[in-house]
Amino acid sequence: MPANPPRDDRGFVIPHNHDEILNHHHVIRHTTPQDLCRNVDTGERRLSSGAFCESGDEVGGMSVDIEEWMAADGLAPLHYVTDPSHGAVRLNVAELRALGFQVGWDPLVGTNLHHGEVWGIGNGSGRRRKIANIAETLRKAQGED
Amino acid sequence: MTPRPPDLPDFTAPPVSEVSLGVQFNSIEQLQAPHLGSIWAEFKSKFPHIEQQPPVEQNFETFADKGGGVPVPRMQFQLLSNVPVPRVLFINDQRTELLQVQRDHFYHNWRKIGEGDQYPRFEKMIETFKDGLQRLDSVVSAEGLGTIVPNQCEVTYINHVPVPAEKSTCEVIEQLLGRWFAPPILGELGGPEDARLLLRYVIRHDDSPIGRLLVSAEPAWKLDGTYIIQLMLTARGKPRSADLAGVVDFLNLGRIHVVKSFNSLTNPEMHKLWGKE
Amino acid sequence: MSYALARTNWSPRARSAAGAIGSTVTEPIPVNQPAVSRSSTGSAPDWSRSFENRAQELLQLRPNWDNRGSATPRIDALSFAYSVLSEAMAPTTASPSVIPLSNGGVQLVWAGNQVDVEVEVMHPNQALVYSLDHQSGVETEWQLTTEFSPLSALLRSKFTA
Repeated sequence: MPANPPRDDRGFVIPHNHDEILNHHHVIRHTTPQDLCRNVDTGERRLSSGAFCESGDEVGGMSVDIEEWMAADGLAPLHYVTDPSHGAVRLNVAELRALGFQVGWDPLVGTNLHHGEVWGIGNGSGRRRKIANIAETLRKAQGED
Repeated sequence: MTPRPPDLPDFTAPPVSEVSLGVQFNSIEQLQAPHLGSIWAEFKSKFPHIEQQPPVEQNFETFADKGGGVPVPRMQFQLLSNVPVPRVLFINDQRTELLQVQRDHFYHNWRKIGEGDQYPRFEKMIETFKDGLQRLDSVVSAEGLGTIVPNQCEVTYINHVPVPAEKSTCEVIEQLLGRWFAPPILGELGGPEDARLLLRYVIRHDDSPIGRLLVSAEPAWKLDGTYIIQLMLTARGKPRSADLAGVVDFLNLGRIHVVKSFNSLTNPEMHKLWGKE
Repeated sequence: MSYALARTNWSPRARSAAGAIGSTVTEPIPVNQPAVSRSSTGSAPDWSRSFENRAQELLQLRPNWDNRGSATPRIDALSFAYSVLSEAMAPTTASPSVIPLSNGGVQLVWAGNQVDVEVEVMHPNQALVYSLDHQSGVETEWQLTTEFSPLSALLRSKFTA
């Protein structure tokens, strides 16, 4: 069992780099048809940078699944991508940390113990596009070319 | 109370029928209809009567260089999964003053109901507005709903000028604004049956546009059947800071533009009727 | 196709005072517009209808609509995004893709072979613009509040027929 993530007074996980999410590990980011944008010249539909946005809740961060921890528990990378219209991309932890982001653990008890967060992305497309540039497609979202 | 600017034109009997001071803020998404009861409790002693209306839509004064801004349909956005939270009006006993509250707007209005009702003056109204907005902010905060972040402010003066039976709408508009507007006579068609006027001016701060002054004059009926010209001046724009001080600054600035423009646009003959000092 | 311009549906360019209650009802002088053929100045731009349809889709999303913990798109973010478009777009500017963001904001994306432009609207008076020139690789980011001239110039030069 990994070490507990740091939490604030209200019990919410605070941004951190988890020691047991190693640099050679990967995280899985779900994608959805709502994330797709259309090239006005070619009509091609691809993921927008908006797919890599942090949430605005108490924990913040971009929601991901920790792939190597899932594999250790016998789960396939797309185990938590249950909606057939959704897709997923794989991101390397070392590359995320090299971009200045933190990758930590935020377990969702009862639903997803392999849930993590990527913190530090902030507002604006620039940093999100850097994440898009290192993303490896595992499964395309419905409608994605 | 902040004193009236000394160089501002003043009228003892202006034709003002309603004055509205308002602020639009980032939507308090967690504010539901029951919270409006907690808010009313803050104001009930002075505003014991209540009405509800559909919410007003968000308005933004925005700018781009010439060639920007095409006419587009109005759109009001509403979450289809939710019951819309109404706009509630808290009204005083005389029904002349009210506060309006919805998820993203707060207004303080004065309106003339009876002939004897006197306009309380901007200096008094801004104090009621400030107090009301601070109380609203306190309740929103105490209920854990978020914070009020202003994004636009608005001050409106509505004036009613009666159209006597023996005169046409255009004749009264010319009497009101004749320095700038003379209804054209078109040969055998004669003069126009009626007219409407709409002017927009950009309000600037340090050369940057921050809002607009809108001036409109159009024929209207009062509920008692009186035919009037409604001359409305609205100053609307972005506060210099997203807080009470920024809002009050803009409302003060907007009011100055409204009064000075009213004085400049309307004819001196009308100023005598209105008791210009 | 021809249709009369429904006067009551037009022109936020001069919206009347939102908070005025008034003791009057404006005289409904029947100023019926003639049924005219569609023109570039008299009809709703394509992007306007496209945005309306997309906004209706987004407003049906509930919290955690994506199983990633995303918030419902905020109405004031959509309202302000529409204000940005109505100020910055020409009638024939290409419609943007409208992307809901996890934090409740919206993103407007014009993706092209020459340049990408992205506008993130978090709250009213807060828009972050990003542009990438694919040929030179130059990226630019800047913030807008209510003055959209730079964005308007960019969209008109790169995405307007």
